[in-house]
Amino acid sequence: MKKTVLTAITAILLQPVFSQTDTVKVKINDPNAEAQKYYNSGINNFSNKNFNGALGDFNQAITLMPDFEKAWYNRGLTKFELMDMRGAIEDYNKSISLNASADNSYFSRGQAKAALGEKPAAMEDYSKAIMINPSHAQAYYYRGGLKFESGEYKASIEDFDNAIRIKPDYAYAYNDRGSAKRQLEDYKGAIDDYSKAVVANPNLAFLQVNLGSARRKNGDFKGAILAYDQAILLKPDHISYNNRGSAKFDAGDLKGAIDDFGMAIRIKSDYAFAYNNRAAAKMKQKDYKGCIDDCTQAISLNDKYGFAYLNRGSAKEMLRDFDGACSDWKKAGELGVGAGKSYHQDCK
Amino acid sequence: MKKIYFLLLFTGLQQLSAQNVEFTKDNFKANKEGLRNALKSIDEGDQLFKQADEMMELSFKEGYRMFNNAASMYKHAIPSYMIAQSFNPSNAVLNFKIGWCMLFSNTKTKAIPYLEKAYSLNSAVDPRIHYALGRAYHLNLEWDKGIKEYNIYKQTLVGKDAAPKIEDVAKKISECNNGIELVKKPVRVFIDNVGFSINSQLPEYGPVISADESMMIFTSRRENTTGGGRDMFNEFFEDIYVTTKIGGKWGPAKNIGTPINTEGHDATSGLSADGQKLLIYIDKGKDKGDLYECVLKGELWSKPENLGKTINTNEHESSAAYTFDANTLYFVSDKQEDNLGDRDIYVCTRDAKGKWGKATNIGMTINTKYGEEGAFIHPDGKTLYFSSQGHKSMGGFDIFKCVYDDKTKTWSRPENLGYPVNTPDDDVFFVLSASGRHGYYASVRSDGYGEKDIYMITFLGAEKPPALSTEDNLLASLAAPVKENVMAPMVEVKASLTILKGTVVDALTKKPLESTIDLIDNQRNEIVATFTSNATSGKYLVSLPAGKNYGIAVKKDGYLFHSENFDIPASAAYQEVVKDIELKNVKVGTKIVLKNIFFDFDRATLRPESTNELERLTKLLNDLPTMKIEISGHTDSKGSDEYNLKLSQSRAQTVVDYLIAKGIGKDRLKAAGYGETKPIDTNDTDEGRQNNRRTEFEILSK
Repeated sequence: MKKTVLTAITAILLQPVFSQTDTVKVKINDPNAEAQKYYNSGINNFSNKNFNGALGDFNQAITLMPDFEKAWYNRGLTKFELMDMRGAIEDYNKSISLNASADNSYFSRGQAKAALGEKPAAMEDYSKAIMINPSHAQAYYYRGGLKFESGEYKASIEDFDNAIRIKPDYAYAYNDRGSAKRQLEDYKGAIDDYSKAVVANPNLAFLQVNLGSARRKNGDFKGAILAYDQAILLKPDHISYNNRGSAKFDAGDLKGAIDDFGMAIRIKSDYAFAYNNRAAAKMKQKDYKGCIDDCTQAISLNDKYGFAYLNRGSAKEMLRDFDGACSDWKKAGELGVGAGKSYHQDCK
Repeated sequence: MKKIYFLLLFTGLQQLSAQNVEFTKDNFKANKEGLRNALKSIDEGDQLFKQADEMMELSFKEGYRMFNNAASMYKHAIPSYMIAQSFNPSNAVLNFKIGWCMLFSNTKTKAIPYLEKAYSLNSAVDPRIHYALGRAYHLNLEWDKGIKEYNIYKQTLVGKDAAPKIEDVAKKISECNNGIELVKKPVRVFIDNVGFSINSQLPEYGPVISADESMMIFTSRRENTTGGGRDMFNEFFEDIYVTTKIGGKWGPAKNIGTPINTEGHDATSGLSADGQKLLIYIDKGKDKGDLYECVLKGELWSKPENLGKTINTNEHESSAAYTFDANTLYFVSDKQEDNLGDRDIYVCTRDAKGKWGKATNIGMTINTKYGEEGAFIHPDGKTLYFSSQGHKSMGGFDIFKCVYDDKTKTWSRPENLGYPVNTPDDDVFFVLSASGRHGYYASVRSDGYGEKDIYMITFLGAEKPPALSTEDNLLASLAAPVKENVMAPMVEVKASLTILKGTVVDALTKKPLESTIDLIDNQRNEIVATFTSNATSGKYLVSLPAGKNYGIAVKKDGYLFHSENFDIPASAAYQEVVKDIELKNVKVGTKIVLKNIFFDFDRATLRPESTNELERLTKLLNDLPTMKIEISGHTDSKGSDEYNLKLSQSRAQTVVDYLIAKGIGKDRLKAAGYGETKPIDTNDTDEGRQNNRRTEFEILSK
C-alpha cells in the first residue's frame, strides 16, 4: 500500500502526463485527499451507526495522513462507541498533541475517562476544555456531574449554573442542579430547578419523577403525586409507580399506595423495593401477616435487602414473635441498617 | 338541623316517660314478699354504704387508708343492691347507689348505665350525681364528658367544709386534662395476661421478679391460703406464691409455704435482683403493716425478719425495693416524721454489719402531698419507678419513672409512663425486668381470668416506622445518557479537478499557435469539450474533472496533432499540470507519440479507449492523402528482446490493420516493431518504462 502511494506521488511530481502502450493506469493521487475521502466516509458510516465501517475509514485516513487531527479525534469517538475506551483515549491524546486547543478532544477524553471510572482525570479534562472554550456548556455540565457523584454538591451547583448560563434551555443541567440542591436538603430550590427542567423538556419522565420526589421530601405529598402522575403518563414504569405509591403512603392513602406498589410489581415482577414498600403499607394497616409475606418475597429477591429484614422484624414483633423479630433486626443491622442495630439492642 | 331538634324532643319525651319507681307497697301490691326481700337487701347494702360514706368523709382528712376501707365497703355493698335492682330496676336512688359503689369495684366503668339511669329518673337523686358521672366518664376515658360533669358538681360545692372537695374535683379535672394529652401519644406496649399458670379467677397482684425474669413471686387470695381463713368481706387472706420459668414459660404457681405464709395476710413487697432476698408486708394490726425480709437458703426461705425500727414505725410501711446490691432500700411509709403528705417514699441504707441506717424522705421531686406507692428501683441502680396520685397523673395512681443523677445527687422530674400502661384508675406495684423490656403489674382487664390478674407489659419502644425504598435518577446524564461527543465535521475534498494549462507553440519557431484542443472522454469515446489556445500567447487552460480517462488532442491545420492522456481517478487531488505543447509541421521525419492508443496487457489487441486517437490518425491520413507513415511499436526493457520485438511488431501491425480497415491505402503504411531498442526514457523506473512502452508514428514522405 505504502509503495503504491509513494509511486503515485512521484508520478505526479515527475511525470504528470503519461502515454502507454500497455494499459497502465497511474493514479494521479493526493494522499491527503484520499485521506479526506475516507474521513468523510467514516463520518457517514458513524452517523449511520456503522461503527466498524467508520473505524476502518478513519484507520485509512490516519494511515494516509498521519497528522490528520480530526481523523484521530473522530476515530476516538468511534472507538468510544465500540466501547474501546483505552483506544479512544489514545486517539484523543494524539488529537490533542496535534492541536493543543482541541476543546472537544479534551471533553471527549474526559467522557472516556469518566466511563472508565477515572473521575479525577476526567474532571481535569473537562476543566481543560472549559479553559480552552469557556462556553463549553457540556464540559461544565459533566464536570458538575462528577462533582455531584463525589458528593461535592455545592461545587457541582456552580458548574450547573455555568452550563445553564451558557445554555438556558439545558434541561439536564436544571435537573442535576435540582438534584444537588436536593442532596443539600434545599428542597424548595430543587423543586424550582426540576420544574424548570420539566418546562425545558416536558417529555422526560424521570424529570417528573425527580420533581415528585423533591416535593415528597418537602412534605408536599399531593404535589408529589401529581408529578408522578405525569411521569406515569409519559412512561408507566416501575420506578414511577413505586415512588407514587410511597407518596400515597406518606399522604396516608394506604390503599392507593398498595395499588401502586402492586402495579410496580406487575411491571417488574422482581422489583424488591415494591414488595418491601407494599409490606410497609400493610404494616401500617396492621396487616402484619401480609407485611411479613411481602418482606419475605423482597428478601427472596434480594437477600441483602436490609429494610425488608427491618420491616419484617417489626411486623413479627407486632405478632409477638420476638425471637423472629430480633433475628431479622440483627440481620438488618448487619446489612447496615442503623435502626436494625438499635432495635436489636433491645433484644435480650 | 330540624331533624336534630325533633330527635332531641323525642328523647326528651322518652326520658319523661321513664318514671322513678319507689319501693312502696302501692307500687308492688302483687308481690309483697319480693318487696320485703328487696327492702332487706337495700338495708344490708345501705349499712355498708353508710359506713363507707363516713369513711370517705374521713378520707379527706385521714388519707388513703380510709379511702381504701371505704372503697372495700362500697364494693361489697353491690351484691345486696343488685338483688333489689333485679326486683325494681327503676328506682333512682338504688341506681345511683349501685353506680356509685361500682366506681370502687373492679368494673368501674360499668357504673355508667346505672348513674345515667339514676340521673334520668331523678336529676336530683343525690348531691354527688354529677361527681359520680364525672368519675364514671373519667374512668372510661371520656375526658370531655367527665370534665363537664365535674364542673357542674363543682358549682354545687359551698360552705365551710367544701374546700377539700373543691380541691379534689379540681384535681380530677386536671387529671382529665392530663389524660387528654397522654392518650394523644400512647406508648407502644403489649399488655399480656401472664396466663393461667399464675392467674386464677381469684385476685392475683403484687408481682415481684428476679432481674432476669426467671422467678416471680406474687400475692393471691386463694382457697389454699394458709389456714384457709377469710376476712370480714369473706375474701381469703393473702398468701405469697412463687413460680419459675421453665423453657421460657411460667410454671404452675405454688404457695411459697411456711415460714413465710401465715394464717393472716402475707403479701409480697420486693425481691432482690438475684431473687435471694424477699421483702414482704405483714399487717399485724397495731403496727398498721410492717416490712419483713426473708432470705432464700438453698431451697428454703428463712423466717421473716422485721426490718427494724429505722424502717418500720407504728404507721403503715409497705412496698419496698432493694437496689441491685440489696444494701439500699426504697420503701413507702405513712409515718408522720419527715412526711410531705400522705404516703411517701423513703430511702435507707445498710451499714457494713448489715444494720439499716436512718430512713430519709426521698424528697419533693418525687413525693407529693398526694399518695406515693409501689417504689421499685431498677437493677440499673438509678431508675426509680413508683406510683403517685400526684404529678401528671391521669387518674388515681399512675406509674412514673425518674432517674438519679449521681453527679448532682438529684432525681430527674418524674415522667408518666403513659397510656395505656397508665389508666384513669389506679396503676400501682409495677416492677421492671433488668432488660427494661418487660414490666409486670396487676390489672383488671377484659381478657383476665377473674378479679385482678398479673399482666406483663412489653415495652415496644418508640414507633418503628416501616422503611420504604424508592429510587430516583438524580443525574440526567445517567438516567438518559446522551451522546455528547460531536464528530468533527466532514472536510471538503478539493482534489476533484485537474487543471491542465500551458502554451501551444510551433515546434521549430516557438511562435505561439492558435490551435484547437479537443477534450475526449476515452471510455465513452466522445468529445467532451473543445478549447482554443490564444492566438497571441498560445496559452490554453483545460479543466479535467476527476473520475475519467481523458484524451487530449491539440490540432492545427498544417501541423501534426499532438495527443495527451490523463487518467484522473475520482479520488484524485486537485492539481495543476503545466504542459507546453509544441506542434510539429507535417514534414518527413517528424515523430509523434500516440498517447491515446491502448492495448490489453501483454497482447496486441486494441482497447476501445483507443478509438478516438485512431480516428484522429485516420482523419490525418485522409487529410494528407499522399503522406506515408511508419507506425512503430516500442516496449520497455522487461522481458526478452525477442519477445519484445515480436510484441511491438504485432502491436504496430494491429494499428496498421486498423487504418487499412478504415480505407487507408496499404502502401502508405508501414508497421515496425522496435522492441526495447529505441527508449525515450530510462528503463530503471516505472515511469520511464511506461514512457518507453509506446506507439509512435513517423512521417516517411509527404
